[in-house]
Amino acid sequence: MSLQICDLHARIVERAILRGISLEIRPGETHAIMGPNGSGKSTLSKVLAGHPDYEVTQGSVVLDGVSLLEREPDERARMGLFLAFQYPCEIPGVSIANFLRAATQARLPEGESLSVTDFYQKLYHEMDALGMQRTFSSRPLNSGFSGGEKKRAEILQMAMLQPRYAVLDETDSGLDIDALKVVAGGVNRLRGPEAGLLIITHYQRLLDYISPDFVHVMVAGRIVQSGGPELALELEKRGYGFLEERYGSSEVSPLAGAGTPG
Amino acid sequence: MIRRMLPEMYNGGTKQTPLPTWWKEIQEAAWVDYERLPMPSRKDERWRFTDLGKLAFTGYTAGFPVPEPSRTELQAFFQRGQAPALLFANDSLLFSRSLSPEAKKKGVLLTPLLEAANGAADLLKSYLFRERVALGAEKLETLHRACATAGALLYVPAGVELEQTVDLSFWLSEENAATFPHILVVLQENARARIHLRFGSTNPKGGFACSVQELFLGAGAQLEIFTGRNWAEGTCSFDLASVRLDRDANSTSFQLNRGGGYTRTESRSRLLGPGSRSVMLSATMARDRQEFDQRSFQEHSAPNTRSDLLYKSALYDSSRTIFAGMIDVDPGAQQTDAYQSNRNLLLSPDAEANALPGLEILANDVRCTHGATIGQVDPEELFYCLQRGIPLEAAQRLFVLGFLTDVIDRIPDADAKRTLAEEIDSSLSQPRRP
Ligand SMILES: Nc1ncnc2c1ncn2[C@@H]1O[C@H](COP(=O)(O)OP(=O)(O)OP(=O)(O)O)[C@@H](O)[C@H]1O
Ligand SMILES: [Mg+2]
Repeated sequence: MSLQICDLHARIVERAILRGISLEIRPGETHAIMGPNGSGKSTLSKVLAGHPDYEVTQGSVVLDGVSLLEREPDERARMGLFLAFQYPCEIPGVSIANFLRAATQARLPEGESLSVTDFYQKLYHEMDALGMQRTFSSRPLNSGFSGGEKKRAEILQMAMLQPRYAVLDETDSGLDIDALKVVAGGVNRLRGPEAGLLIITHYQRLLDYISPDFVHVMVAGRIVQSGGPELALELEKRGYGFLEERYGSSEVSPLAGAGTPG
Repeated sequence: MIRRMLPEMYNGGTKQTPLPTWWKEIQEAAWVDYERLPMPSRKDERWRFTDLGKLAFTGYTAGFPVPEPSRTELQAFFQRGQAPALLFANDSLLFSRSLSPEAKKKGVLLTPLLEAANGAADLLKSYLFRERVALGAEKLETLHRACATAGALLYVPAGVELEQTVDLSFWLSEENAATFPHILVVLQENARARIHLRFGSTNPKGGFACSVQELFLGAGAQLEIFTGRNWAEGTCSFDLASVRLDRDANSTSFQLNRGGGYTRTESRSRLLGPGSRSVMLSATMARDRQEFDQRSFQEHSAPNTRSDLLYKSALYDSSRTIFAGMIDVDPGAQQTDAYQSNRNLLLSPDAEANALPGLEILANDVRCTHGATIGQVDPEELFYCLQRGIPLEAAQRLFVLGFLTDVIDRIPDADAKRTLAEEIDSSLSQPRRP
């Protein structure tokens, strides 16, 4: 049982972005990925989720024994994969409640219908825990939400859908200190022996609240270093410069815009 | 051509009241005009974009008897309601529920046209067939006049507010049946009414319908009218509506369109009195090879008038929509406020939306805007939904609901709003069987 990423290569419009990622996340584990802007962290999360813009050129991803890459994005999600987006998009006219009802309904066996009372009970419970006003549930999803509200809404969705593996892409960015605590609380409530987490972040700050078991550093589409929580502290002090110098040569760095495979 | 059945003939087993002479004369004259008027043609601007191949006028019979199974089905439908109502199928009146005694005591009248021809002849005579919608379908409007006998008169006297919603429904039960519903509404000064109008079929396929709505609003009167169309697959239908508004009168119309084969709606708002206001709303869900051909006219003839049109269509499969609208502001209609907006959401690469918004302004102190958009689902929004485990079809349903939300939100009455939202939701949940 795990989310196993093996030698994953992916590109977008003829440009290689992921250049051999291997990583295994077991239920109960929390992994953090850090790395400079443009190193491919969001790309990894979208490739896992099945975004149609990216082409996987090599490697495999296996979720609890089932190969993921041939599956449609919605199937992957129902298999237990959740992605909290770095930039959640707005869904005009569709309320949070209706959206989550559709997502919850989609997880029920064929022919079974959702108990509306149970649904709202759970929704309000999670909203209360995340310090969200209940009236928020009737607002169109992400439309006109502040940056912090969008991130909270992502965590609310995660809490409602109870994924087996969750990838959180910079869920801490744009949050004030109080919101950060609330969001971290939401993440910690999902943690447990049943759930595996992959947290993408730029800041040690989040990791103060959600202490990871493993920290990985991604540079130019590869994981160049892995370690325990102390690695994050070291990066906070030293920056990525020393790693980029070593692993992100201008010839292959997507930052330099010349990353063709080969 | 349409075979003409005279109302004296047996109609669904019950002998209908004979038509008065003045009405018969109207019919005769209309029939002559109908035969003289040209068929819709591509050369006519008002039929631009219409797939004329979908128009079928032949092989239908008016006054077709309603078979037992359809009768039973409609009875069950009818009995679910509580409002004062008239239900017609193939132009015969099958069921009716009368107004509350209080409403009757106040002088409100809800009656089948044929009955009104006896009981309220003067009233009927002074309003029936007076209006001309004339946005292209003159030939059909004339055919309607030559054939229409089914329909309702709603009359609300001055100052009376009819609290109960009036339900009017018109059905087809046969593939080769034709129906010519007529809706005549007369609201006197400061009167108020709300109507729920429904068009549908009990048969799975085919039919012909040509209805006319004549809505007369006296000074300060208020009307809300909801029209739900859900004809069987392949039905060819025309619904031609005109609302006349006197000083400070206020009308809101909402159409919910689905089903059918070719559906043409012509809607004319005639703002004849200063301070009058008309809101024209439409939500369409087009599927398969359905075509919805909507034409509108916002006629500002008096100062200080407001009109506000919002037509939205979601298009699946190989469906087509046409919107052609015109705002017309007379030289004397200063301080006019007129809006016209048509928005289309394409859910399939084979669907086609055509939009022709239009303005003609002869006054100088006015505020008018018009616009049209044709868009697709944003792939990032779709990916977001899929990532939450929502399958494509359910995601599209959410987008359509989201897309139509702002039209529904414009309906003032909370109950009506909820009913409509539920109706849209359920018709989206069972896409193949309405
Ligand atoms: N749709 C796209 N078209 C072209 N290039 C893209 C596209 N999406 C991503 N890229 C490129 O891929 C590279 C990796 O982007 P990605 O968003 O994965 O970086 P990241 O590590 O998440 O960065 P950040 O920390 O800034 O969020 C960048 O150079 C980016 O410009
Ligand atoms: Mg990113």
